[in-house]
Amino acid sequence: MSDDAIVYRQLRGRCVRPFIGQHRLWLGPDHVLLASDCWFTQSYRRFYFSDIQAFTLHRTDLGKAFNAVLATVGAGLSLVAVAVALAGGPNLPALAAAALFALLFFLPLMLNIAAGPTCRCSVHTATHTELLLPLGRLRTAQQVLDLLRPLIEGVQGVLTAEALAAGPAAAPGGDAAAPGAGAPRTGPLRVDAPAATWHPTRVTGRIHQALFLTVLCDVPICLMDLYLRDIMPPAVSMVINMIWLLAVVALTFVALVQLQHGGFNDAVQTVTWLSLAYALACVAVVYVLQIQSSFGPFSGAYEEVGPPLLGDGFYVGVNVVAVVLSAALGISGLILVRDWRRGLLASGEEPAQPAPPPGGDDGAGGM
Amino acid sequence: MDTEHLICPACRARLGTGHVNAGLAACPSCDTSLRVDAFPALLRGTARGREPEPVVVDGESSCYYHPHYKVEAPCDECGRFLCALCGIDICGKHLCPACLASAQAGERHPWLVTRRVLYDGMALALGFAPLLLFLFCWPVTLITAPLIVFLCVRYWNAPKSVVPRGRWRMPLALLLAGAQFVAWAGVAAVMLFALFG
Repeated sequence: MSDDAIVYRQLRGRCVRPFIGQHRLWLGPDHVLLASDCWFTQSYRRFYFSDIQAFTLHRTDLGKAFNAVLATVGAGLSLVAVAVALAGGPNLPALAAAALFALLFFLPLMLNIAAGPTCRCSVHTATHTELLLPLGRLRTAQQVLDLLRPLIEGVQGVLTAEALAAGPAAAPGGDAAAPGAGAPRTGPLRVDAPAATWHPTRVTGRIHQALFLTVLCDVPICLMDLYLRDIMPPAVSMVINMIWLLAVVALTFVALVQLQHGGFNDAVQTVTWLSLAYALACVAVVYVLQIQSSFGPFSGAYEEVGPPLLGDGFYVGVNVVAVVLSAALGISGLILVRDWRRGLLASGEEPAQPAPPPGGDDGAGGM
Repeated sequence: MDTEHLICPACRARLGTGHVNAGLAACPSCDTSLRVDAFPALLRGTARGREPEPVVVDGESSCYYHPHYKVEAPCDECGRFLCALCGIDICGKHLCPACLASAQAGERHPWLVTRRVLYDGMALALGFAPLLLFLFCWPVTLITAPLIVFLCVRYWNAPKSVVPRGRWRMPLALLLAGAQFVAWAGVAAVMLFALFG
């Protein structure tokens, strides 16, 4: 292959990760490229046609569950909205608002139904297994596999049922069953994959999931602070905020300790550190608000009119920014940890149930 | 993965060979629709590297890194003699480990690139973020606008994404930065006009 830029053709399917980026598959002259965006970095994984052992694909019920949730919540909230709109007689603006409200739920429902059933597709090579996130829809995955299959068979040859039933024993030297297969691409340096060793302190990612879920909880808390200020006593709001803050700080420190055990990818590490920065910023803001409300010139008027020295606009602004930041951090963190856990599962390591196998090693690889 | 591990991804039940390359079919154990496309590499397994041959005749060319091993082929990049242990065949080239490492670090070959920073996306995000949070973040444009210009000038010719990607992001980010500069100039002009009539 020349050193010129490789020309890639985009394959169908994509996996969009809100606030982070997306995964896409591209077809190169002799390989499939998985391009993953993580904020402003794009990482690449190449699966050469000569190395691909198998694709596995199985249907999942995620799409059905998503449809059920969207339909139930959308229908319920729409009924409530219509009932409210019609309570004081026909009201066109209120009905329009109700219709818009329903659309927020029913449009994703329609799109999800149109996209078809969901699935999980993995590619297997001799050394590892990779979950192909862009192929999350059954129809798309089948089309892409139908496209790739002849290309791979053009390089490796066709695996017949007889050869498969006979197993590797029927392939002296390991290559007999592969009429089109040449020498291993990486030649002299190819070695057996090292067996994964069992680590007593293996992290499971649960703490990180709890952390990002807690960060995400700041969204309803801030919205509550914004919209229920008139009816909620300030002491209740303060207690809720303090509990949340303590939980985030504690979980962040435990999560950072777990980072030291390794195993997490850069993206999860980055978002964990960002969570710490966010928690510290929240501590600073709460500290400033409390100081100025306690010792400021209008400290007695805080409960009636909100933070007096910095003004109502500052209070609203801080809450809006907090909603945006916590949503971005929480959602992206949860997605990244989910992807990381999926990667472990796909490679045959079950993070949630680490069990020392006989001899101290657990099995490497697997399907 | 090998033939012993042909199992249903959903229930981990062992699959018969009849399920392989048979299109979408139901798992006999959990009834999940699944498809397994296998290729001859499944039976090939992981190939072991060849053993390098020792130098037996005096004066015979030897490997640059292992003087006691016989040369198999020179490196396509630096021309050093390499034994079977040192040569790496990758995408039609025979490289030594040092050239492979330097090629990967210097991103000389597109097929060795594993990561790229997308400066154009960074500049565009810096341009749009203050606009999306305009109400509360507009003073930030004093910092982001010059930063956008710096990113665009510094990384205009930096290697872009390996996959096809439109080149409209940096010009658009520059336009946004220009608009922010114009807005600040307008604000400054209004303030000067108000102060000095």
